[in-house]
Amino acid sequence: MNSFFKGIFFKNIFFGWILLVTLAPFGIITYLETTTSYNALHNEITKNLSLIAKMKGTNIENFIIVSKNNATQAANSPFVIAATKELLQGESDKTRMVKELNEYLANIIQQYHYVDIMILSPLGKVIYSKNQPNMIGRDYSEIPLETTELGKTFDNAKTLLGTSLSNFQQTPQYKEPQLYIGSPILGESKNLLGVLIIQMNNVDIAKVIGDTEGLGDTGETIVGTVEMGQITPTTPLRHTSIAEFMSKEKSNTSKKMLANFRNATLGEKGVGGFVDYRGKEVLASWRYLPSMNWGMLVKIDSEESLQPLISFTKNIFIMGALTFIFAVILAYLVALKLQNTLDSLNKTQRQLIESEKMASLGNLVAGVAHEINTPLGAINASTSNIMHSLTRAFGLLPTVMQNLSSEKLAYFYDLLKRSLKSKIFLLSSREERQYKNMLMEKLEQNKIESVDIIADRLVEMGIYADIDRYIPFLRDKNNFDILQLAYNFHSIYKNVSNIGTSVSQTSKIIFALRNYSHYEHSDEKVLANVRDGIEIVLTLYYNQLKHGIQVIKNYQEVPDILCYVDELNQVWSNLIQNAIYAMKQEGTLTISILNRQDHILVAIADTGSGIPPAAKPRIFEPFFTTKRRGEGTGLGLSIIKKIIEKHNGNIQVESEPGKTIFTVALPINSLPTGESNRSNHV
Amino acid sequence: MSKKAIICVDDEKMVLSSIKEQLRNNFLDKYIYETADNANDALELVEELVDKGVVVILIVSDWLMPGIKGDELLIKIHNKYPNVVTIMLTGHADEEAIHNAEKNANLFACIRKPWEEKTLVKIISSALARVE
Repeated sequence: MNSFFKGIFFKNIFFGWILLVTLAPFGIITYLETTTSYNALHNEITKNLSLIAKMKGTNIENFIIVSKNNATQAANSPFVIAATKELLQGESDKTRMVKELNEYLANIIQQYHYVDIMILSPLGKVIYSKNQPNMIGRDYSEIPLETTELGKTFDNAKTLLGTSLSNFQQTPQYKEPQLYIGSPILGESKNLLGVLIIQMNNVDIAKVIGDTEGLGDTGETIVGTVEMGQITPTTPLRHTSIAEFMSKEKSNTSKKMLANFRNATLGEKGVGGFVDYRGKEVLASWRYLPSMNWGMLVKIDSEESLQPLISFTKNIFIMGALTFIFAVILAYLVALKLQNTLDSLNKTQRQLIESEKMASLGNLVAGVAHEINTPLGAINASTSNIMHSLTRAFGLLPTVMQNLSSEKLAYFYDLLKRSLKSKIFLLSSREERQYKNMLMEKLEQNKIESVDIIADRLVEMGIYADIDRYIPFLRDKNNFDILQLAYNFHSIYKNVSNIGTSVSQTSKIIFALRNYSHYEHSDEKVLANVRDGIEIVLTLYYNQLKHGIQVIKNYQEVPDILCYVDELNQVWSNLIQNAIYAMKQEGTLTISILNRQDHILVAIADTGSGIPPAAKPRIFEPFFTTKRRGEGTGLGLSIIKKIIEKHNGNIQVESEPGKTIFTVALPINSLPTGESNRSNHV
Repeated sequence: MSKKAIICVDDEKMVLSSIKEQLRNNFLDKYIYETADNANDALELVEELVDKGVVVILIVSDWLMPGIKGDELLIKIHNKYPNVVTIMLTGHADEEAIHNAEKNANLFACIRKPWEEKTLVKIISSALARVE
C-alpha cells in the first residue's frame, strides 16, 4: 500500500496537475475574497469609528459650548453685574441683590448639573460662591495662577476679556476631575468688575465620552490633551482609571498612539491602526475638539472589530481544508483512473503490436499450411509411386530381358538415358499437353496404335523432341513393355527427386517458421544479420511470390548488428507483404541490402500501383489504411516505424505509380566485446 | 465409346505429377489423366477436351492457387458441366470456401493434404461409381 501510494504521489504526474488545477482557483478566490473582505471591513469599521467620534465630539462640543454660553450669559446678566458691584463694595451677602443672584444661579446649576458658580474679584479673590461657602475669601492672587486650573481660567478670562475654559483638574476635594469656565463681568464702561467661574465636574462629559454604543466589548474613547509628552485624559477610560492609563501608557510607550493623539489636539483628524497602551492591536479614529482645544480618539480592538473577518477567514480555512482533502481524494481517484487508463492503453498497444504480428503471421498460416501439407502429400504419393514402379519393373524385367535383342537394348538404353537426363518439371502442364498432341499426331501419321498412352509416357519421360528415330521401334506393339519398363525406371527417378525436393521445401519452411518467432519477446538485443531475416521472410512468402513475382536480390556483405530479431523480421515481413499486395501478385520485387559504413540500408522496391500522393504523408500513422475494412488493421507501418526507431534507425518511402521503395536505415552498432576492434585490425 | 478424362489442378508440379501417377497406377489406362497448373489453364483444358469429344468426368482441384481459387473454379465448371464430379484436394482451405463449393459446385468430397493413397482411391472410386 505504501509503495502504491508512493507511486501515485511521486511518480504520477497527473496527480500533481489535477491537484494544482483543482486548488489553484480555490486559492486565488480565497486570497481575493479575504483581501477584499478585509479591506471592506476595515473601511467599514474605521468609517463607524469616525462617525462615533464625530457624534461624540459634537455632543461634547455642544455641552461645552452651552456651558460657555451659560457662563457668558450669566456674566452679562444684570443680576450678576449688580450683585458683583454690591459684593465688591463689601455689602453683605444677604442683600436683596445677592438673594436674587442666588436664585438665578441656583437655577442654572440645577439645570446643568454644575458643581458651583463663583465670582472672583478682578484681583483674584473669591467674593461669591453659590455652593462652596468655604471658598469665599480665597485669594488667587496670592497663589501662582498657572498652578491651578481655576487660576488659569481666571487669568485667561481677565486678560482676554472673553470666556475661557480650563482643563480638567483632579483635586483632593472632589472625586471627579473639575473643569472651570471663566467669563469676565464688565461694568457699564466695560470696566472689569470681576470674573464669573462655572465649576463643573466631568460626570456629564464622562457620560458622553463613556457611552459605548457602537463600540462593542472593547471600544473606548479617550478625550484629553497632551501634557508633558503624555496623553492626559479628561475622564476615566472604559477599561482603566486615568491614573492607571497614564502609568500604563508610560511603560508601554505607544508612540504611534501618542503621535496620532497629538495630531488630533493640533487640529487633525484621521483613521488608522496601531498598538494601544494595553499592547493590543486597535483600529482608531481621532479628531480635534475645537471649542475645548482637546483631542479625541475612538478606538476598538482589531481582534473584535475584525472578528467577522476572522471567523470568515476561519471558515474559509476550514472550507479550504475540506476542499483540499476533497481535491486530494478527487485528484487521487482521477489520477488512479488515468493511470489505469494509461496502463490499459499501454497494454492495448502491446496487444495491438502483438495482434499485428499475429495478423501477418495469420496471413502466413494459410500459405504455410499449404506449403507444408503439399510437399508432404507429394512425398506420400511419390513413395507409393516408387513402390508401384518397382513392382511393375520387377514384373516386366524377366519378359523384357528374355526378348531383348541388341537392337532393342540400344533403344531401351537410349530411352532410359534420355529420360534420366531430362530436367524434371521443366514444362508447364500446358506445354506438356502441346507436346503430347504433337507427338500423338506424329505417331498417328506413322500408324502406331495407342498413341495417347505412348505419347503420355514419352512426354512424362521428357522425351518429346527428336523422336523420329524411335518410330520403327514404337511400331512394334510388343515393344510397349520395353517402353513401360523404361518409364518405370524414370518414374522411380522422378519420384525420388520429387521426395528430395519436397523434403527440402518442407524443412525450409519449418526452419523459417522456427526462426520467424524464434526469439521470444526479450528485452535483450542479439547479434544477427539482416540478410538472414529477409531470407526467412522470403521463404515464408515463397508460395505468394513464386508465380508472377520476380524477386531480384541485390545483397552486399553486411556485418551482424545488435537487434531485436523477431521485431525486425516483422518489419521485413510487413514490407514484403505490402509489396506483394501492391503488385497484385505480378511484378518485380527488388530487395537491396547495402553496406554504408556506419549503417545498413535495406531497400524493398515493388512495381505495384504506388501510394496515392494524398495518402503518403499519413501512411506511418496508426490505424491509417488504404485497404478495405477487414483487410488490414492500419497498424503495420506505424508499428514498423516504432520498431525501426527502437533500433535508432529510420524508414523512408518514395513512391510513384509502378515504383515504390521503402528504405530502412539501421545503424551498425559496435559489437558488445572487443571483437569488432580486432576484426578491424585484421 | 468416347474417352473419359480425369483432371487434376494444382499449382505444384510435384503434386500433379505424383497424383497423376497414383491415379494411373490405380485406374490404369481406363481414363485420360490431364493436369493444369492453375484455374484458367484448367478451364481451357476442359474446353479443349470437350472439343475433342472427350468426356470430363471428374476434376480434383487444389484450393490455394494464384488467381482463381479452387472453390471458384469448381463452381465455374459445375455451372457449365453439371455432371462433372468435383473434388477438392487442399492443404488449407477455409471452411467458408469448402462450404461455398458444397453449396454451389455440388462438391463430392474435400481431401486434405497430405493425402493417403487409399483415401484418394476410395473417394475417387466411389465418385466414379456414381457417374458410371
